[in-house]
Amino acid sequence: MESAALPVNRSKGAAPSFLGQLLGFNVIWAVAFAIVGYIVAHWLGGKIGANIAAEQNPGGTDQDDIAILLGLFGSIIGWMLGLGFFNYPLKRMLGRAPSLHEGVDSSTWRYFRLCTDHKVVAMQYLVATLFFFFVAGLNAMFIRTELTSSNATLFPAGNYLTLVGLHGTMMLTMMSAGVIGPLGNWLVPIMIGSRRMAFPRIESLTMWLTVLAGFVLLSATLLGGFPTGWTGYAPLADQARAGIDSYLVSFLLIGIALVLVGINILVTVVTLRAPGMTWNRLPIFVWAMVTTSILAVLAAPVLAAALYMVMSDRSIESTFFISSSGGSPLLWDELFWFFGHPEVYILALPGFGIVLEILPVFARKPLWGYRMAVAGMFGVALMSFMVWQHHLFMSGINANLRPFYMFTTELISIPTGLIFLNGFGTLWKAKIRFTVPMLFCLAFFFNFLIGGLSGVFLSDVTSDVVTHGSFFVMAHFHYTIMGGLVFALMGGIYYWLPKMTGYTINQALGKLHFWTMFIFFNLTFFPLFAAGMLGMPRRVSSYNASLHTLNVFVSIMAFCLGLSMLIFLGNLVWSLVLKRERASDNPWHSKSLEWQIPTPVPSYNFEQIPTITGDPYGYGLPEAPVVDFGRRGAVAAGEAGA
Amino acid sequence: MSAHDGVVIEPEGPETLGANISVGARLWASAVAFFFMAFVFAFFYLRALNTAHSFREPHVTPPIGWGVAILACVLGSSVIFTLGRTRLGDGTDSQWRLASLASLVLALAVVALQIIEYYNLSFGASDGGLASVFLGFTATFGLFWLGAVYWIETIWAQSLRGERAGESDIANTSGLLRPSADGCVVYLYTLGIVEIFAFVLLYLVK
Repeated sequence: MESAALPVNRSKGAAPSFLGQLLGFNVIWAVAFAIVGYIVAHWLGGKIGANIAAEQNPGGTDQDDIAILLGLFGSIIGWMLGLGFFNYPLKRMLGRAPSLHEGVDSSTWRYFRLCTDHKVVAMQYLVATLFFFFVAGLNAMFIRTELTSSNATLFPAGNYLTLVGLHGTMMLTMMSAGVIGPLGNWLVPIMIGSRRMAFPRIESLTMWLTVLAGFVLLSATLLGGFPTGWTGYAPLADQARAGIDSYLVSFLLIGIALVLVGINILVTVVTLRAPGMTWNRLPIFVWAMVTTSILAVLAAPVLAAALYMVMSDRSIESTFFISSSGGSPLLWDELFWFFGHPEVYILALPGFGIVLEILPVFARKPLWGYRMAVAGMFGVALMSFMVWQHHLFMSGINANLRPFYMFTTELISIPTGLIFLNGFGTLWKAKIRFTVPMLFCLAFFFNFLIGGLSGVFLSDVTSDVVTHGSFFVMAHFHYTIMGGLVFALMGGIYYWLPKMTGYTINQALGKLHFWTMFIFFNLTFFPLFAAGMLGMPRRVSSYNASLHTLNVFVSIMAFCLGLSMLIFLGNLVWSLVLKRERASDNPWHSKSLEWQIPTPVPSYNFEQIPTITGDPYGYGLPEAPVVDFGRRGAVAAGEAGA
Repeated sequence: MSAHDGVVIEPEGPETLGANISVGARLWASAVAFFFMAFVFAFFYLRALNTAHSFREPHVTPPIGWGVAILACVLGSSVIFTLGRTRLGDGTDSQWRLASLASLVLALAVVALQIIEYYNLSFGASDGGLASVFLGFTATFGLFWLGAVYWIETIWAQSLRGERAGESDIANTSGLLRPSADGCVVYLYTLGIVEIFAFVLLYLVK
C-alpha cells in the first residue's frame, strides 16, 4: 500500500507555449500520421499481396485484404506515433530510467494528447464514448426508419445489414468502455485513496485506442460495409467485402484496450489502496470494476485470437473457418461466444456497481448485504465463462451438451438475483430521495428484471428454438444492455458529473430526460417481444405485412426515445456551457471518499494520502469517522450527511 | 474540470511501482495464456472435426529440427535470464550483465529461427486445419516473444546505463530493476510453457 505521508511537491512545471503545444505530439499529428501510415502500409501490403492472387482465396474474397489490413495497422502505428506513445518505450530501450511524469499541465491541450492524469483521461473517455454512442444511436434511428415499411425502401438489403452491424458493434464496443473508461478511470483511484492509476500511460493508451477503434469501424462504410452484424459470423466474414476488415481491426483494438484497462484497474486496486482501505471497505463500485476487469483480462484475449484467425483467413488464405479445407465456421462461434457472453457481463457488472453505489446515498441506509453483493458479482463473473454455448443451441452443437448449458445459464440468475436482493434490501423501509440519479437506478431494476426474465426463455432449449434469431432476442438484450447498463450509466453521469466537472447538472431537465427515456424505452422495446413471438426475424428489412402497424408504432416510440437523448445532450450543454453553476463539494451528502475532497478535484487528488477509518455506507451512524486527511483532520459521517 | 494547477506530484517509492510491475506482469501473463488457449482449442476442435479429411494434409509436416531449435532457445533464454536475475543486485554486477545479454541474444535467435523456419516450410496456410493453426500459433507467438525481447533489452540497457540524476522522477530507480526482472521472468516462463504446448501439439501429436 501507498505511504500515508507522501507529500506534494508544489514546484510548477514550465507550460509550453501555444505553438509548442501545436507542434508537439497531439491528436492533430495523430490524424495526419494515421493517414500517412495507412497510405504507406497499404502500398506495402499491395506489394506483398501481389504474389497471393485474389482468385486463389478459398473464401472467395475479391479484395486485396493484405493491403487493407496492413493499411489499417499502419494507421494505428501512425496514430500512436502522432500522439507520442512511442517516445517513452524508445527512451526505455536506450536505458533511460522509468518515469511517471508526462503531459501533466493545466492547459486545454492536455485533453488532445497523451495525458497521465486519470481525471483527464476519464473526461476524454466520456466525450469519446458519448460521441460514438450518439453515432450508433443515429444508426438505430435509420434502422427504425427503414422498418416503418414492410419492404426495403430506404436502404438496399446490404446497406441495411451494414447499418445493423455498425449499430450493434459500435454500441457493444463503446459501451464496453462506457463505464470502465470514464467512470472507472475517474473514480477508482479516488475511491481507494490513490493519486493515480498504476500505469498512467497505458491508461491513456487505452483511451486513444478506443477512439481510433470507433473511427476504424466507421471506415467500414467506405470499404463496402459488412454483412455480419456485430457477431462477425464465419464463413460470411471470410467471404465479405473489405468493410469487414475495418470491423476486425476495430474489434481487435477494443479487445486490446479492454485487456489493458482491466490489468490497469486490477493492479491499481491491489497495490494503490490507501491505508485503512481494507477489502471489506472497498466501495461496491470498485468491486464491480474489479470483477469487470477480471472478465476483460481473461475473455478479450480469446476474441483477439479469433479475430486474428479471420484476418489470417482473409489475407494469407488460411482455412480456420472454411470447412472444405479442414476448418470449421463453428470454431468462430465457439471462440467468439467464449468472449461474447462474458462481454455481456462486462457491460452489466458496471451497471450493478453504479446502482448499488448510488442506492444507499439516496436511501440514507447502509448497503444491505455488502458481502453478498460482492459474492454475487464474483458469481456472475465466474459463471459467465460457463454458459457461452447457449448461443449455439441452434447451430448444430452436440445435443448432449444442451442440458448442461441450459442448466448453467439458468444458474447464473442466482448470483444476479443476489444483486436484486441487495437493492431491495437497501430500499426496504428507507426514506428515499427521488433525485435524478436515484430515478435512473430504480428504473434499472425494473428494466433489468424484464431483461432477466425474458432471458430465461432464451436459456431454455425448447423455447429458444422458437425465439432464436427473432426480435424477441433483440428486445431481451436491449432490456438488459440499454435498460440495464445505459440507465445505470445515465444515473452515474448525473450523480458523478458535478464532481467530475465542478458544475451542477440541471435537475428539472434531468427529470424530463429520465421520464421520457424510461417511458419511450419501454414503449419501444416491450412490443418487440410480441414482434419476435409473431415471427419477425432480426437483421432483415422486409417482414410480414401483418406486422406493419406494430413496427410503425415501435418506430415512432423509438424516435421519441431518440428525442429523450437529445434532451440529455441539451441538458449537458445547458448545465456545462450555457448556465454554469458551481457544484458544492458534497451535494448528495455521500459518505464515499470521492465526495470528501474539494470540487473541482485537484490534479493530485489528495494533499496527503488519506487514512480510511470507516466503511463508505455507514449511514445512520453520525459519529463514525469516514476518513482521516491528516492536516485537514478527520471527516466524520455526520459531516458527510449521515 | 479538475483543478490542474501545474502541481508536480512527488515521486512514488520504487516499492509501490515494483508491486505494480509484479502484479501487472502476472495479469498480463494470464491474458497471454488465454490468448494461446484459443489456438490450443482450435487445434483440438479442428482435429476432432477433421472436416473434408483435411485437418492434416499428407505433406503438412512441420520441420521438427527447427521446432527443437526454437524451443531450446526460448527455454534457454528464460533460464539464463532467471539465473542472471539472482546476481542482479543494483544492475552493475558483471555476471548479471553477461547473463542478460546472453538471454537477449538467445531471444533474438528465436525470432531469427522462426523466420528461417517459415522459409523452409513445405506447406502454406491454405493446406488444411493444422497448417492454419501452425502458422497462426507460431506467428502470434513470435509477436508476443518480441515483447519479451523488448522487456529483456530495456532491463539490460537500464542496468548498463546506470542511474543518472535528473533522468527520472522516481526515487532510487535501481530498486525497480529487481521487480521488473521478476515480472520479465514470469512473462518468459509463461511464454516458455506456451512454447512447450506448441511444440507438443504442432510437432509431436500425430
